[in-house]
Formats: sequence, structure tokens, C-alpha cells
Amino acid sequence: MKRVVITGAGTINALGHDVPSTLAAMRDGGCGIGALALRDVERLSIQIGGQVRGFEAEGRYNRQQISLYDRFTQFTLAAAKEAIDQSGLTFSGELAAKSGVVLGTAGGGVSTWDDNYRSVYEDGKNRVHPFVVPKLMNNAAASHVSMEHNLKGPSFTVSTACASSNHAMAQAFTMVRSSMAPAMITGGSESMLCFGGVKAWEGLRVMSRDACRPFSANRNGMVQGAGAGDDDFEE
Amino acid sequence: MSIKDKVIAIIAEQAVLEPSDVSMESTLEDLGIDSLGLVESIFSIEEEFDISVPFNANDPQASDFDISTVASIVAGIERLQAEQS
Repeated sequence: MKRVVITGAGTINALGHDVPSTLAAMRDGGCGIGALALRDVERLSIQIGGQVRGFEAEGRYNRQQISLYDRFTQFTLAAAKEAIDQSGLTFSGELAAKSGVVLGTAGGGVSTWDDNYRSVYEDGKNRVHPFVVPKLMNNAAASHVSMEHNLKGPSFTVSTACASSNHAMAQAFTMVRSSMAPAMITGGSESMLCFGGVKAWEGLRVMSRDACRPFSANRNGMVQGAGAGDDDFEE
Repeated sequence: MSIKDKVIAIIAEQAVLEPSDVSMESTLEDLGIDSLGLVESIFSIEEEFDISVPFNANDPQASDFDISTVASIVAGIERLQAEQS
């Protein structure tokens, strides 16, 4: 049994675009929850959330990448890069052949579903872009991390609702511990803050209209966020 | 813009080249357009000309639509427009 260590961490979320800025915001007592800025927000009864701010695909990715990367994949790639950079690992040869990616996501490419449903059902269009399927599939983020960083070992996605990333990391941990892989990129991503995503959640009637205060006697529901967190587990 | 100019613009954008780098005799392979680029180009052509292109990504060469050169693509579009209008 190998000892497993974390050699890199990355994140992008409502408090910051990397680990240091996130930690600084937490120390400062910052709150990443604010008014939702999205199309048709007026039709939503829940209008708050922890959106990632100031992260634009244009300028960060080229045209073909944007056509393949849902926002949940974009978040993942940013977080994975930070984690891999910190680890100092370059995946080549044997290390590349055996290292993999296990990520978690509950909804996958929700915005892609939302945009294309809107296009077909609301706008009446009869064709969608050829990359809609590879963009929305739940394993898209893991696939692009593996392609971008040359990880040819076991790469897949775990989905257990809000516990997805937790279980993905447990899987990755077990793989490194049992010598199945020398290194694994793991973590998760979610980007469900679009009209269709929030509207679906409203049906469950578990969301708060004003704030997230789970430890307070007057708590009245959850608040959704978006973003990604990734770690590099090594033996 | 003529059909020819629109096709050249679509292909050039896909290949990340200037329209002046694309000639009627160019093959998609010459221009560095891979299989994903090809299927995106077909989509752009369908959107631009509002036609349905008989193209199966499993066997690109076997479709009714000749993708061997820019010229054959232009000819194919002209034919489909006539058939489908």
C-alpha cells in the first residue's frame, strides 16, 4: 500500500480564480454569493448564487476549444492547470501512460443543454452544432484534462450528486494507494447556474432566497455556486 | 458574396487561414482541416446556405456530397440549393 500525498491544488470559484486568492478572500470573511447575472433571471424566483465572476472564455481559449468546452470544462481546466503546475509534474513516458483523471460532477454540461434546448425548442432551429454531445457529456471535463496534460491512464467521471467530487477523490486515492496509478488528477466541477439549471432546482423547493447560513437557527435553504477544485494525488 | 466566396470564407475560418490562402483546388487535408474541422465545416455550410448536406461522418468519402476539393464543395452546394429550394 502506497502513502498518498497531495502535491498540487487548484480552484476557481466565486471567491477567486486560484487557491491563494480564494484563501485570502476566506480570511477576509468575504462572501461570494450575490445577485445572479444570467439570461432570463427575472423569470426565476431564486435570484442569488455563487457565480464565478470575471472568467471569460474568449481570450482564454481559441474558437475550437470554446466549441468543445462547456463552462464546467473550462472551470476544470483552469483548476487542473493550477494543480499540475504546483506539482511540477510533466506527464511523459511511463508516468503519462499510467496516470489518469477521475473527476466528479452532478450535472455536467448543463449550460450546453440549456442553450441548445432553447435553440431547438424556443427558437425552432432544426440543427445544432456538431460538438453539442461531446460538450455536454458528463465526462467532458475529465477527457479534456487527460488530452491537455497527456494523461493516458484511467480517466473517467463519478456522479453522486453533491458528493461527486468527494467520491471521485476517494476513487483516485484508492488507485494511487493500491499502485494502480502513480499519480491521479482528481476533484470536480459544476456549472449549473443558468436559467434552466436554476429553474429545475426551484422545483425541489430547497433553496434560500436570501442567504446561506447552514449553522444558524433561522437557516432557510441552500444556495448554489459554481466552479471547480482539483488536486494532484501522487504516491 | 458569391457561393464560392462564402465557402472560401467558411473553410478559411475553420483552417484559421486568410481567405487568400484557400484556392478552389485546395483539399481540406492541404489546409490542415481534420475530421472534427470537417464536420464543423459541414455544419457551417448548412447554416449559411440553409441546406441539408448528405454527410455521414462514419464514412466521409462515401456521401453524395463531394468533399475532395473546395471546388467540388461549391459545386455540391449549388446542386443541393437547386434541389432543395
